[in-house]
Amino acid sequence: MDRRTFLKIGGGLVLGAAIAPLPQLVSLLRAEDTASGKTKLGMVIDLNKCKPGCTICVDACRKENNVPPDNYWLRVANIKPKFPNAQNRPIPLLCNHCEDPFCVKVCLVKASFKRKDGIVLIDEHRCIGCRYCMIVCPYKSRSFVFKKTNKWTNPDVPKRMHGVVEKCNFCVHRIDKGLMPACVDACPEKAMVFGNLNNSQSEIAKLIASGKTKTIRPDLSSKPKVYYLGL
Amino acid sequence: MKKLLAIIGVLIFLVIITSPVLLNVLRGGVGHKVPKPDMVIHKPGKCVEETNYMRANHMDILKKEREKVVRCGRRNTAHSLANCRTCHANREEFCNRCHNYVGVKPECFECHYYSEGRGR
Repeated sequence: MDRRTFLKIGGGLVLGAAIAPLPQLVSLLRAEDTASGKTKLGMVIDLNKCKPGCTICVDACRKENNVPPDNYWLRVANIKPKFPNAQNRPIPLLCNHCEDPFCVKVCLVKASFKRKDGIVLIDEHRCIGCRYCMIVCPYKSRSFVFKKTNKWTNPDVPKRMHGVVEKCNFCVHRIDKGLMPACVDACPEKAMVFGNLNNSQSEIAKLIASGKTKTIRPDLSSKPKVYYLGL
Repeated sequence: MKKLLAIIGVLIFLVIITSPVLLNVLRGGVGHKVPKPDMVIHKPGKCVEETNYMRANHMDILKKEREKVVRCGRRNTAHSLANCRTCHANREEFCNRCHNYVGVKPECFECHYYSEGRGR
């Protein structure tokens, strides 16, 4: 065999090896994802219904998702009013699942990603715990797992191991089954509304279309999808 | 003379280098000291795949499922860890037996609950 024939055969083999995984790739791309691009999930929180001192949504979230006591996914902050006699107003803060998230742009290993239906997730298997995303999140919605935990408050849902970043994931295991996130279900005043922004008939789309909702720091252009009424 | 010394030297070197294996063989312990895993299946019957296939590939199945579920949201209850639990309820009696035998410590159970005792 001369050199030319050898190179021809070698080239043919390499080309074959490169094309071989193609049918599998095509079928993977074609397959339907649960999270389709037509949905755009978001939340509206009615602050007028939020009672000071109430932590029911926070407790429900902690229990549902095995959030350790040192960390938070959903937290209630207090807005200090400028007027001297007015009360502190509570405001639940969680991951805003932005349309254009900074955390996804900045993740070194692409552990933070945006799913097709718009929720921003952390692939905890891939997270290396560098916390770049925590620095960049304007809403400080992420927390780092500093300590190892040994208990599950909800054995059906995985907890996060020591050394990764965690945040609200809109209870992805619940919404994939068609349920509401734990906080939305738990709120006794029904102050939280969760749904598909792209579905003009949904309650949430109507609330946003009314023009009375506001997001936090819209000037930062991350396009958050958690809206507030009465902010 | 030098050639003979060299050969003897090489032979001594070979004996020293393979001494761990030789000692183990002399003690009669090749594979016999550690008992083969004795697994208890909580609910025997038909698994989601064939036994030999599962033995060789259950880690690959779980890894691929993980990527599909987390990244694409394509949940498949048949190939989920939660489904394994319906028949293999006790990690200590089933999973750990082979894992201990082979010397493998999967990290999965740090986050995913899989009970080590009887029942939930």
